[in-house]
Amino acid sequence: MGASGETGPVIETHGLVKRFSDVDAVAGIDLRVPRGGVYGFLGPNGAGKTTTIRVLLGLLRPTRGSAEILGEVVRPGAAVLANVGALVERPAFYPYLSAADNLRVVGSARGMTPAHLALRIPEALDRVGLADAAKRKAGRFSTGMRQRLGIAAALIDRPELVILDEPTNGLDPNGVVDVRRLISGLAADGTTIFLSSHVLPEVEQLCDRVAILQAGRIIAEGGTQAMLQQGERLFVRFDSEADAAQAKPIVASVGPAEPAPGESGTGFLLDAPAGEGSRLIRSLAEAGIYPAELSVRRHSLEAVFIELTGDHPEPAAAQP
Amino acid sequence: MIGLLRADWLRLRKRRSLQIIAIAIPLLAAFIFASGYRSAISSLPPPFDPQEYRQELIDEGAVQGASPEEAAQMLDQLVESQEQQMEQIREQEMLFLTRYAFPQSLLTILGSASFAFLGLILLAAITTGDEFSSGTIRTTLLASRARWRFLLVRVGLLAGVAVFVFAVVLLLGVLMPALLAARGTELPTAPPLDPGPFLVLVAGNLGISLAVIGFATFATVLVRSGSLTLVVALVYVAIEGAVLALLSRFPEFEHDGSSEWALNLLPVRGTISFIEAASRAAGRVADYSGEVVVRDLGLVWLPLAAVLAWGALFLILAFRRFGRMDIVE
Repeated sequence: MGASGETGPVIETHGLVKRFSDVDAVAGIDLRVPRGGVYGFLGPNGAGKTTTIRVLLGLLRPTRGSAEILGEVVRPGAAVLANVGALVERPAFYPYLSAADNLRVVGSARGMTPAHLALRIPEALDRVGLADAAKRKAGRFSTGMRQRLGIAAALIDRPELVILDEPTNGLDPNGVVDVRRLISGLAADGTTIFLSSHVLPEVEQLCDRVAILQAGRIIAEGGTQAMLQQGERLFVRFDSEADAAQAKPIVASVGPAEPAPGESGTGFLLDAPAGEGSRLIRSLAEAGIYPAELSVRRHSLEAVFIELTGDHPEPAAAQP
Repeated sequence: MIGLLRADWLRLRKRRSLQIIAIAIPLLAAFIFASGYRSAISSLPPPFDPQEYRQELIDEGAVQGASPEEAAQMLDQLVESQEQQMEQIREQEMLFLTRYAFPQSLLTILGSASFAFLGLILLAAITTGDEFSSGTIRTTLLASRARWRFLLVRVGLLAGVAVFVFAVVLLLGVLMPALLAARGTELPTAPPLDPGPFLVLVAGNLGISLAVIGFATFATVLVRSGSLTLVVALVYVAIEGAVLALLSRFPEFEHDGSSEWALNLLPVRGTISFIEAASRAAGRVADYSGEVVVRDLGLVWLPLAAVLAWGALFLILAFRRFGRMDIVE
């Protein structure tokens, strides 16, 4: 079925469907996550992100289709899951155990030896900024600390693939920065990160590729930069309204144009790629009109996301 | 598997509920044993004093109107009769007291520890149910490679707890008579146990413990809640009671009826029947009628087999359900 070994995709799904009662939380997802880097999994609340992740981790059985991780079909308890670290929604821990003991439970269950754990637990706690809280009971942790402990648990055995579901939920701004830095560091070390989030600037900043999920379906998938470039527009501004009026037909010949908001009729936005800028300048110069400014305006991922998902009806709350 | 065992042991041994239940069961068994002993000792008649009794009879006017010779004869007869009666009562009470002397104390304390099964249901329901209610089942299963291994380790550890609890209870069965003796209490000499039936009784208790753990585990993975499991257990006991009450209306299910044996196929009734029959067989103690029950294991096997079969069924269903269920917590 899926590619395996060192070069194939780390995650691959084929027509993945998960139905709860009469709602398709995941409605036929074909996903292919390449090895290495950070892959963003975007979608509004209830789009099916967490359900997809639960299927990928063998917590839910797919209604139809299949999911593969590192080339092996995922089913509950699949051996390949030993190579995956995961943080799913709000991490849950044993409140009566200390942070270190909670990691010891997770690591031991993953088959790590006590000697290995003695090395890895302080390292993992230090990496998420919880070194000083190693002996504190997890039940007394704040939401942010639990989130950090969840990330530490996901990293305890240095897995090949780390699946993080909203990892910065509940973190303070410093914590958010720390976690983003951590994710970048892991990716740089060769770990593949599958990052589910609805914090778009975070995804834009961290991810090489993204898939956008809406009502259980992937509505866009590709490189983050390519997706941002799809929304590129040229902005041209003139010194006066008279110049703008004179330039209008020339501008319109390069691409569909509309008055730029907030420019009092002196500026235009063109649906044209950045490469068309030189042609516009040449045409304007030939007509003896010189713009005061010509620049490329890029959409943020947020704008792309809203543009892509805006036409769709509000998805049903389909998560379990 | 060793890693999972280590993880689960760490999880369980630091749980307050486990510590409390594991300590409470032997303590409660010891308390019931001591209370039973105190009650038995208090019902022992005081030493018989013929002179005092004779005087009581005279004071009550029992021989009023009789000539001195007749009165003396009547009083002798009454005192002798009373002395024999008191001796019989004392013998019966002393016979009852042998239950608290070693080695019969082992059977008594085992009988006192039957609520250990309830403790094990509580423990299995709480430990596994909490995994669902707190969401740690997700953390656990993400770390465990195979669900069945996790469940096997959990059931195995709970079975280990059952072994520990019964071992402590048996140890108390040895220590309690010694403690009573140390306090100056004189206990009658108890007849030895029949080792075969006694071993069957101990092994049967452990088998029933496993069946109970199987039931609680299955119910917990089915309803995904520890507290609901306890409700399920109570409802089940009530249903079985109602079924027994209904069947007892038919002559064939009455005592010594042709189909009475079939009632032992029910788990709770089977457990009670097994413990009663195995204890009687192991005890070799004469009852009040003077009849000594010796090595009568005939009544033991059917209820034990039935309970173990129920346990195996519950465990199979628990593993099957747990292996296939969606974890939405």
